[in-house]
Amino acid sequence: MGVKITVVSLSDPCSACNIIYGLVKEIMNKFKEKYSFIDINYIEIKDLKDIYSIEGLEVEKFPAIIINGEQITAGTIPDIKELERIILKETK
Amino acid sequence: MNSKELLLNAIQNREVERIPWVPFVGCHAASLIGVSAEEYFKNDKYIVEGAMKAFELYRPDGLPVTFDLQLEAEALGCRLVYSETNPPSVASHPLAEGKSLEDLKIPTEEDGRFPIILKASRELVKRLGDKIAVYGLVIGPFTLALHLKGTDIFYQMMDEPEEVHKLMSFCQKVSMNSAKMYMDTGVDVIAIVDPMTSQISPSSFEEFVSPYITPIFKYIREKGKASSLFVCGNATKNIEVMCKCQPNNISIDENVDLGYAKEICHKYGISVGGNIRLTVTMLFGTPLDNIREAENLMQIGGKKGHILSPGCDMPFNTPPENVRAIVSVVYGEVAEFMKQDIKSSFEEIDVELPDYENEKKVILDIITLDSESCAPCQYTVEAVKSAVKGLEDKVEWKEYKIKEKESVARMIKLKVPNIPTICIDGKPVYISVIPSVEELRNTIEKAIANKGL
Repeated sequence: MGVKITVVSLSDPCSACNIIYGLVKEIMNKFKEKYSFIDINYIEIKDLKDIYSIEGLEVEKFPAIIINGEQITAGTIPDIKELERIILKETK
Repeated sequence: MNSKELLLNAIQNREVERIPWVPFVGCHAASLIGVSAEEYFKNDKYIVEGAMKAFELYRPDGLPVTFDLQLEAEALGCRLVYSETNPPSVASHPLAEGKSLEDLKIPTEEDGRFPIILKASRELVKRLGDKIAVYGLVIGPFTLALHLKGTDIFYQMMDEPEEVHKLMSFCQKVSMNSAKMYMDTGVDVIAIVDPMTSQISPSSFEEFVSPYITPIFKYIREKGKASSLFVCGNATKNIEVMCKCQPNNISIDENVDLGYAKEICHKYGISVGGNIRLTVTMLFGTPLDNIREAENLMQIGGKKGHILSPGCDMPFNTPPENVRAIVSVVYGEVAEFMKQDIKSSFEEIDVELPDYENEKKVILDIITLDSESCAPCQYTVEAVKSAVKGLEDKVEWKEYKIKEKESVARMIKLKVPNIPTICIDGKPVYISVIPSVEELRNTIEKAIANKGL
């Protein structure tokens, strides 16, 4: 079963969010190399109204990671082991 | 007291006559002068021109030379990806890609973009140093360690803590040397910007950050300069351990409650900076949203040991009108700002004021942003409600919300400079001050007596 990951960020992030967004993208790239069944979609918000159309986004702090419609993080660097556990759980 | 003195007093946690204001202008300066963020960060003339434009438009009490948390990382070998509208991002981590700590050397004035930034700093100190406080922003040791090592550092903190200590010791030396280089250019304040510490617990902070960051603040203090610790993200849990590192100031973003941070910081004699919301308010909000937020934060922060500032560096596309709206609150010029804001339609609005002198009641006009959303406005209206109890036959009051153009026109006609203001019989009496119910009651009773009611 495929796993759909959405990473939501602002198109105009502050320096701190920018650093976290960069690290999240690196983590996602590593997962993508490891697990071919992952589909990663990056959304960069230009207008606050856009957030209402993002499925699963509940906490509006960025960058946010959403896995198969469920938000996992909001503005924090994810725990990689925990993230991997969730991804593998979603395949079952 | 000029702007610089005002800020330097506030940062030392002293009471001042006006809350100082520091817009964190980094890549936003590029948009002000019409160049890309990449061009701005690589050119000392653009950095100076951008800061001078911000100085002219935003009338700050302090300004950073620039806001670049990748400067040290780049000089240490991290590859950066530059952007048109954002600060650069770190795209490689040397210590996760085969290099060892022994391969890295502490950046000097000759390395990376330091010659550009330090040249800009010298020029800005020359141009603005007698007027406002110039901030030199230095990356904090933990965020630098993350740049050098990548996210593996979080696992290493558990599995190989001694390796993290070695790395933090190196990063401390880098931060301290950057602070020295900035101080040598004549800046007034060194801000150690360590946003990634919001990602760790207080115990990890005390183990891996405090021992390395505290000596940096001691060093800055010994050099006779003021210091600040900037953090972004939800650092609520870490505010107390940050205080124990003894900076003069802690600057927080919107994820931390300003009232809470102020309470903890003041306990340690530390001032607090912040925390206008960057996205919802500054980037996407309206000028009125920005006025409301500045009013609320200034009410919470007060005039002792509070510096009004955005939560982090302002986004490239922040509308200058929103920033100017904040400036109008800082300087008590909301009416003037609103008049400019609605200039095109203002002339069509004609507000007729009552003949106050001959009215058979004392008339209170309460000029607010909106007592339902602006805390100081709410307290003002509540004070009026309580003060007029039992005097309803002699006193009439009404709230005028400047969200409505008619109210702005009334505000201007009444010569009210700022909000919230209580006018009594057409005269602004309590301007941006919330009187006690007792004081207000006395003033109203005098007005009643003067009218012979």
